[in-house]
Amino acid sequence: MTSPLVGIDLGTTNSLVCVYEEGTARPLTDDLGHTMIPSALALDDEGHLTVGAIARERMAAGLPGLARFKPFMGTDRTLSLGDHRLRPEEASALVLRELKAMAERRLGTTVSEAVVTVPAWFGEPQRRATLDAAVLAGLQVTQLLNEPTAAAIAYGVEQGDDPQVVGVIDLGGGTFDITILELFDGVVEVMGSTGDTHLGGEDFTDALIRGAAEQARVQAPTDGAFRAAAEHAKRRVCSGGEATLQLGATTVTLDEARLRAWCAPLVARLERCIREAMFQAKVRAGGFDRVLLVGGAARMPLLGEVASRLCGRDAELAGDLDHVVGRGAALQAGLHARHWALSEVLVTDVLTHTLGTSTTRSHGGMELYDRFSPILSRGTTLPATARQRYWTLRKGQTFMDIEVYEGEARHVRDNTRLGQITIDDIPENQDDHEAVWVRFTHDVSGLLVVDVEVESTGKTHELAIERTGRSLRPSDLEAARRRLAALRIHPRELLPNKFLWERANRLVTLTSGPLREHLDHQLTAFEAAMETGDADSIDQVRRLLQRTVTQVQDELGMEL
Amino acid sequence: MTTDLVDRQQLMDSRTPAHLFGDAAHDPRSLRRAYARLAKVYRPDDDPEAFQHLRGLFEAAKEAHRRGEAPAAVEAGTTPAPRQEPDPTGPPEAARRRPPTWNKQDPAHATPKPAHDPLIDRLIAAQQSDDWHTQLRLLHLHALRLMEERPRPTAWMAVRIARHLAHHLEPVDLELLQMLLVHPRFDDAGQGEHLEHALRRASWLKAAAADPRVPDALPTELLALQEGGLPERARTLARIRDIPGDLTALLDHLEWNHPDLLSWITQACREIEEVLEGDVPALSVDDHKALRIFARPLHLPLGRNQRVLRHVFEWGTGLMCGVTVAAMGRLRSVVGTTLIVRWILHGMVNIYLKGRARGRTTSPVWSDAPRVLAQAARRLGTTPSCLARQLAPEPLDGWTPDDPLVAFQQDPASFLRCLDTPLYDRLDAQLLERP
Repeated sequence: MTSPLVGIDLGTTNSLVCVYEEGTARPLTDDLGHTMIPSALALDDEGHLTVGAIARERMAAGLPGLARFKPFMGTDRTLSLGDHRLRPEEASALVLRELKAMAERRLGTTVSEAVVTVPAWFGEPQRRATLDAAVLAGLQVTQLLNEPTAAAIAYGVEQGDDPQVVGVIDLGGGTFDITILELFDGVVEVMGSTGDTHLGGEDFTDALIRGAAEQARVQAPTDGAFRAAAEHAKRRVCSGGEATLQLGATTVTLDEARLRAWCAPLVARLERCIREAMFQAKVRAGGFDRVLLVGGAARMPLLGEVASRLCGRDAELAGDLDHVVGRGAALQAGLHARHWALSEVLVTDVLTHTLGTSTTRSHGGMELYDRFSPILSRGTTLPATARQRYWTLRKGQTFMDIEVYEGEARHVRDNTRLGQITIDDIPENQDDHEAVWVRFTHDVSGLLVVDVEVESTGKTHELAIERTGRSLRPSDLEAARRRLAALRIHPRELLPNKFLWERANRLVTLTSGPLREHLDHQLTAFEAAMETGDADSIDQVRRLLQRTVTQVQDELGMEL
Repeated sequence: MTTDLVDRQQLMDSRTPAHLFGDAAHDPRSLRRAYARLAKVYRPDDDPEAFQHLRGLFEAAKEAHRRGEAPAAVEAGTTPAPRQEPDPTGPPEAARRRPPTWNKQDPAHATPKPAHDPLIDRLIAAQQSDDWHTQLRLLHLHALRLMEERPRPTAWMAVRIARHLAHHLEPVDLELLQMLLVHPRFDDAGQGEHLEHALRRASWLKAAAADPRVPDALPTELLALQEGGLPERARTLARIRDIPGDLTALLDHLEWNHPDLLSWITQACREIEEVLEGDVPALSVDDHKALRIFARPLHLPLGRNQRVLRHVFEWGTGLMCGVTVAAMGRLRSVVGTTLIVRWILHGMVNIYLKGRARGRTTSPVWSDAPRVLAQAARRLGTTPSCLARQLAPEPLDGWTPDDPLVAFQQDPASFLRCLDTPLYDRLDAQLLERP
């Protein structure tokens, strides 16, 4: 008897488990008849662990507990629960274990594997932490599915054949994702995807608490009861009502206008994300057929307004928006298992972070180390393969370290290191530099294979990176040392140069392809000029760079 | 449209979207349908190599549609085949699943290189060749095209043009700026300073170019005064000093007729002087001499009389406008648009435009100008913005050139004034086609 086809939505505030059977995906309920299980942990009076609704209740009553650990996935933060010290993945594992038990009770059979969703914008450390959490809970992860893609699958499977461009905006408890998809003839195709892993409904509650505390001129209380009251007030105010909040001795009246003012920076971040996704997908305002809002915090009218304005189409709340991600995960489990009912559906996803390697750039005699050279760009449909040619830095060099990085920044120290392969059989050539071809192949489920071929001999080396958890070499020391070394006084530190450099750097991470190369090249020239310290040449190159930056900003067509 | 399912070998042999999709490649809808059918057979997790190849062709065709090109002309990218399929040096490290082997084969089916945006290429080429003329024209076209497409008012577009114009001006660009200001989509977003600056510079240069007593070389050199470090600027002054003719008489003429031009020169001198008080850059003896000659006007205060005269002129213009408008009501059928009336209107509209660009009005005549303009327009039976647009001697209506590119080169001002989108697109297409 095969394992049931199960999908799990592991959310910041609430989690959900769904099963795909008899041609539909449906959520499973717990003993209280609820589908949404709060991602909360608490200790009861005897010191035993409680998970879910009970834990949430205890926290609302003011007793200690753990609720927001998803944003800390992938970090080394230790969370405390009573006398216990937990890592974020351990906390998630406890929630997953509870969901697994619940599913087994409902289905009457063992559940050993599941599709688990993650925010699309989760990077390598966060995905690895999610996989670790699943392993700790006794679950094998069939696939880590991006949340907006899951929502899109749940939505897209029910649509007809006609092409549609759909924007899926997922505002959960702690994370924000936007994915733009094209649906046609049973194909669900991701065109662009971005998000913010620290922006969710809870952050709006935080903003409300901060604003209210400032207004009342008191310190914001941190207990769970107050937080629950604030959450309740936020909901009331969002739907147009008024609410009052008690802070110590003061009562603060909240209304919509004030909430908007307090949440303005968050809204700006939302806008920025949405615009980036539209740029990636090459979709303009008015180019959408549907704009769907999903996620627990999607009910906020603020989100709907922002989305409608930027997309040029009225955003609608997806029906059953609490369950849509979980159902999509279950559907993906079905797709993965080649369920006959889903034979006419195909989902293609894209790479959410650029993959590349570390190189040394040489510009007019100056050598600039640790520059990131992209090989597989963000937004490439998976499976993807690409290769680039690199040369040895010195003549007669016989070995080369090919390090694999994930990220968008120009310096590898700002990106995430995934692994490394060292080749040491490059023929010793004193007359010329040797060339090496590096090929990256990334499949649909997260396996990256690196092939390195030495051009003159044709010998190849291979490295497979499973994206689970290769232990990293301690390069932190190196990185820290370099950061300190960069603090020396230098014309670079002059304010206008620094600003231009920062701005250009940021623009590089937002662009791709030939435009990115062009900007990168000019930025390298600028850095080389700054190294020389010659004011005239710095000036000249700076003007050139300034021109390019202005042009690129105008190409992007948005105020960044 | 390809209705038969393509077999695997056929798929892998196809080099262009047309080969694989046939007629379906030309229509976005049929293309997607054809791709969907094939992709469900050659699925990404079953047959990654075939899917990749299919995907490459699909994306190439989609990109071609986006640009409006014929998809048959676009070919999926190819990379040279490797020499031999060598033995791997050892089993791959601890991978939970077996890594795919399909990628070791002929990499000719790798994902295609992303296509270049031709506009970016041209901008890069123009920039590298320092061909400001071409770059400027391209930017204008791009800007004005986008102004039609974007729903939002695009002041930043005009600002970018203004910034370029502020440094590299031609007299014809004055009209372009004025057109921008009256374009229905233009919205001053607090960037009036740049525009005003550019407008001012442009008008000075235009006036100087039209003045027979100002030598031809002077406006060009004045533009050069903005460029380069201080040694270069001093050398430019030296060149101005060596312009044939009576320099003293020229300076006097400038002082009375084009005080702004003179202040342009004196400002450069002031800057150099300030620096000379500190470190001494590499200035030659000649440069110092040039500096001293032009520094002379620094000691002549800009006459109070001149300022008074200018105010009188502006006030007077306002008064004359009021009188003329009243008279025009009667004289319209007889006088029509005589040169004098147009000159007055020109002056009046300039004031109005400057006031608008500045975003605020400081003297009564600024605030009166819009009202006067509106009155005049009403009397003439037109709208204020139309009137503002009709500043040039040539009429606008009924102008449909056969060859937009030639027309643009001959008379850019009139061409841009048309703001005719189809015409634009044609010109754009022509320019982008050029090698």
